[in-house]
Amino acid sequence: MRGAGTAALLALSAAAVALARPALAPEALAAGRIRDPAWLPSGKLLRLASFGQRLLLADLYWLKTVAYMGEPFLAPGRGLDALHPLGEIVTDLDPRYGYAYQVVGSNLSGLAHRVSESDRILEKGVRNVPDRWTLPFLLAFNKFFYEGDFAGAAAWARRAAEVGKRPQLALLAANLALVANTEDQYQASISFLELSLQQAETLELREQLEQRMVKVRTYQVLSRVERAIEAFRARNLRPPLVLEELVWSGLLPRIPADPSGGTIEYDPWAGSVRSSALGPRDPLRVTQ
Amino acid sequence: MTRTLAIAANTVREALRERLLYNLVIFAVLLSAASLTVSQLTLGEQYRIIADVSTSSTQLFGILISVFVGVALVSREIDRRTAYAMLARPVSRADFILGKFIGLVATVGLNLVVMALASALVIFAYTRSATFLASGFFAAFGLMLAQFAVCVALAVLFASFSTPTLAVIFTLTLVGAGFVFSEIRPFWLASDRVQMKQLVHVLDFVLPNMGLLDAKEALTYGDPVSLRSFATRLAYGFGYAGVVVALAAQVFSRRDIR
Repeated sequence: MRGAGTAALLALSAAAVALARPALAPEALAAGRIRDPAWLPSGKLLRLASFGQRLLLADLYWLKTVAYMGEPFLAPGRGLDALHPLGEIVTDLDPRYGYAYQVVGSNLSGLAHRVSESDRILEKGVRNVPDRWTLPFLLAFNKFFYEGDFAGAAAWARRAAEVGKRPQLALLAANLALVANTEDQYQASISFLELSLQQAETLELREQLEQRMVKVRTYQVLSRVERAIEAFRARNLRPPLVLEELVWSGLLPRIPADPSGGTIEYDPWAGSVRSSALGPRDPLRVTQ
Repeated sequence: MTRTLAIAANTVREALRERLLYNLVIFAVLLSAASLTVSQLTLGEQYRIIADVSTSSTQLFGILISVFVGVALVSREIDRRTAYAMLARPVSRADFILGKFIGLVATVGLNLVVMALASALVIFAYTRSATFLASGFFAAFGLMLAQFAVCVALAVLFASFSTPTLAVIFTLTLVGAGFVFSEIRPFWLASDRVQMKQLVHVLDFVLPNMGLLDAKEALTYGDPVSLRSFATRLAYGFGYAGVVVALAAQVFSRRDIR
């Protein structure tokens, strides 16, 4: 009799679990999700309350940060408001966590478009982990691409070259300092993007950088054609009727291909060119 | 000294019969092994997750073993009056306390070796190299013994005059305060308020600075720890534990245990 009672209790309990579990699936998915960054604890307080386990706590918050960075791809529309606070917590708990500065800094500017927060966490990283060259390099990237501060970019690239003992960065720093015309600017952008692609850790950031590379290459081509049109106009006191005239007059070796996969379209009445895929050339500075 | 060592050997034998000890050691070893799986959830830097989880689980469970087993073994001897038979012989109460302390430190030392070996195997399974042994491994685990010795000494002190529950609470509170103090100390020393600095100088003698006995970061970042630094920290930890044990011997000598 006792055995039958136990079996009945077991069956009833198992049935309750089996029924309740699917019903609780939304709650299980939402568990631990950050709703309001303002409710995140202070890293300095957590450090005091860590009872000697600050490295372990830093790792736990780092895992949370990694999951949080992936959330917008699972649920589009969700922002990355808590990325900077999470990065601050991880790096307050372990100020030597160089990789956290690097990944949070690059994703804050590249994915979240929060450049000032990215600068803040990267500058904190440069202070605490001065021998990690990727941090000044990312700062140089931010200055160049998002803030249009070429002098600042050159200074940070120089620092990255010194710390990382990388001659190609020294060359980049020199080029940045000498940026004078549009062509140089695009060339420097492409060099920067190539180096950033080598450093990109997440697939999402890599895709963004690759898209940006296509955009910059397209704008570089459009700018080259625009300069040829200007030269043609100065020489002949009229715009070319077709782009081929630029080749015939020796201003272009050939009509360039559109790196974005479209074609280069020319409007002889306005004297302007555009890419059929990306439209007309925008200013280089990328803020969106 | 022979009597003290005999009590210590007996304490080791008795402690090794504790089921709690094995449960905690097995749990710590499993947690270290689980770090291999947890590290797959992160983006880069898997090594540091494995190293941090291994050292932290060893430290946390080692502290729990030191406190709970330490309190249980001393309290039980007094509650069950088995200590009376021992004290009826030409054994001083100070010998009894010192023997218990040495036996308990030897027991947690054995546990530490088991947990350190498990951690080394887990780290080796990931890195496929033994270079981590040359950079901070021995310092990180070696200094944990000094931490555990401080915990055991406090457990013995509180168990010698209060109930087991209170002894566990007091010990964990003081150990926790030692960790918090090591974090807050630099801020108080940098403070403009003179009282804060004076308070730090007082607490330097009262609380164990557990941060000084913590070299987990050396394993995580591969920092070299000089022999001199290691020996000085070890001397600090065992010195602090020695003072507490001497205090426990004094308290226990004055206790009326009829």
